[in-house]
Amino acid sequence: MATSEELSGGQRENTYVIDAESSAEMARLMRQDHLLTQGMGGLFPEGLDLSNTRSILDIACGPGGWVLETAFEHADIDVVGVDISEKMIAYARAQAEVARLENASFRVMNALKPLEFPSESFDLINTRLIVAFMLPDVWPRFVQECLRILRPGGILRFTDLEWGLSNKPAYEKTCDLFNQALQKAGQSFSPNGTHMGLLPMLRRFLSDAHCRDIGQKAHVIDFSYGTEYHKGFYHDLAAAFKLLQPFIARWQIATPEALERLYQQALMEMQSEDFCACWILLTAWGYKPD
Amino acid sequence: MEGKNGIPGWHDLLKKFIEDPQQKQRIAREIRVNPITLTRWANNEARPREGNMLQLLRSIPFSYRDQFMQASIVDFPGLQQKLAMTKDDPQEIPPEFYSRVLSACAYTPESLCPQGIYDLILQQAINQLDPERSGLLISIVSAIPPHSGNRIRSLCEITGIGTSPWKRDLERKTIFLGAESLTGAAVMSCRTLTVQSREEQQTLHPAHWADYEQSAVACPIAHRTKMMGGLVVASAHPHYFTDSRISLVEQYANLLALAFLPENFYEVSAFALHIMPEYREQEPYFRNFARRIAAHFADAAAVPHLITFYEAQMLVLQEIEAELLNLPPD
Repeated sequence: MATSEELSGGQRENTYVIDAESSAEMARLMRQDHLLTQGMGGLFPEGLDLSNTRSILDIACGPGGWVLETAFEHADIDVVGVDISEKMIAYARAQAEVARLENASFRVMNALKPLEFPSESFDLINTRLIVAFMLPDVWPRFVQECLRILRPGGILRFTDLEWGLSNKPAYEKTCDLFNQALQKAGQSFSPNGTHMGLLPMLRRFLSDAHCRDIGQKAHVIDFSYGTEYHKGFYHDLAAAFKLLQPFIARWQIATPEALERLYQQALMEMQSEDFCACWILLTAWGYKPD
Repeated sequence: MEGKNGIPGWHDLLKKFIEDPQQKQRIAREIRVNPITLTRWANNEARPREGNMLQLLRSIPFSYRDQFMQASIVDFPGLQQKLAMTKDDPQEIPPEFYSRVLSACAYTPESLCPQGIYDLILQQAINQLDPERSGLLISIVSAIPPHSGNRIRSLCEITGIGTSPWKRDLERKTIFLGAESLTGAAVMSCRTLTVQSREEQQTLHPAHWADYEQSAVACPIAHRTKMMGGLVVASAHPHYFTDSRISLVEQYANLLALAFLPENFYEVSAFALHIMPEYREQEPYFRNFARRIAAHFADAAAVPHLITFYEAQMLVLQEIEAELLNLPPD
């Protein structure tokens, strides 16, 4: 498996799998943020005690959907979002202003590098779906950075994803091609590119960093035809599959023409009444030792 | 507990709001507390945090907010400032958002249009029109393309976004709207129409009230004097649409025109909207909706020919409309 340094002769600046400057991606992520929160049963469905939480950091916040929702529901908590994309952060700031959320703020920051916060700045640090850019050899360093800026007793919380579970071939194939591209790009823990590969690692990251009271909670979001999530996920995946085509093609997993044919087939499958599919998400959390 | 000078305190008001068990459940669900907690607050057995009070303000009936706020000031002096509950509603779309939409128009792949563009706009619109999440539903209603030689006979909602009591990502029942609807009237008259309450005299502005709707505004979406349909915004509260909010809806309608192609717009003279049957008569015609969309995708794949979801959806709506309007008269 290639390391991040080997791949291009140096540290890749932005390893996100989709063009983060794309407005279509911005709109997709805003919609997806709501879908995931709803599908998981809330912002903190594992029932974390936030009574002593006064500051939260969301890393790789994208257009800020999770931050804005958290800031709205927890008006007495300051919620900060950081992302590598200036466009996403500008959009997030504009949304916070329009929504009059004074306890939400945003900064441009690269999560692959040391985080630009003083030590012990936050009570809770959150990430969601960072499999889309985080590099395997950066993870230990990233966890240490998170713990540095967490206060003693603070919570480090990761949520990530496995996809591809479906009864339809083009849908399954598209997810499979992406998993392979992720592995070829050196961004996957899956040795054969069969899965995204991050879920089994989350607890290990926390325990290696000596977090205490580590917990895990799995979520299943069923977006089969006829379920309440079908329409939302259809539109999310229709956009995601399209926007992922350049990434998959770049790693020569499939030609653009083959990807487009597969895309049309997947759209058709997702509209059929016997379409069944689900996402598996895992939230893992741990506490920084006092 | 009474407030000053016999005026109800916030505890009394809360007690009143949660007398109805359904209201109590709704408020508890929205602010994510146990219903028993609401009772404890109302009985002064426990004290909410300032954050809880802000959430309460957003969840209680809109018409009581000022009163509740005033009653809360003694116990929560910082609340008013935090809520920033001013009468100065934002009157304009932020300028930088226009450049974001233009960028979306320039760089969104064809297959993701118009969805990728109107999603961006609707998300901005819901945040700006309902920052307090008091209950708003925003829908785009599109003209059903006419069969050759015919005129436009109906409209149909193609997408929507909402805040509670509506779901964010709407899975609403598909329904044809005609001259009997507010949107139909707005499109036929080429102007914005508003109905401020269910009790309002409806001689000039027809309205088809759906669940939770208490006031609504409909605005044509136009391009070079032609129209593709309308933007409809409904509120869960009466009299929600101040002049500034109506102006904002019109601005968003103008912006939404950029999401669609010129061929999606029609001369006003092309609109001859029918009175559409009620939903219970329409419903059977939509039972195979998804299957018919999938069939169009399959047909396109066989040629092969690229088709977007929007195009497939429009084709199916055209077919169903033709079937529906061939119904024998009552």
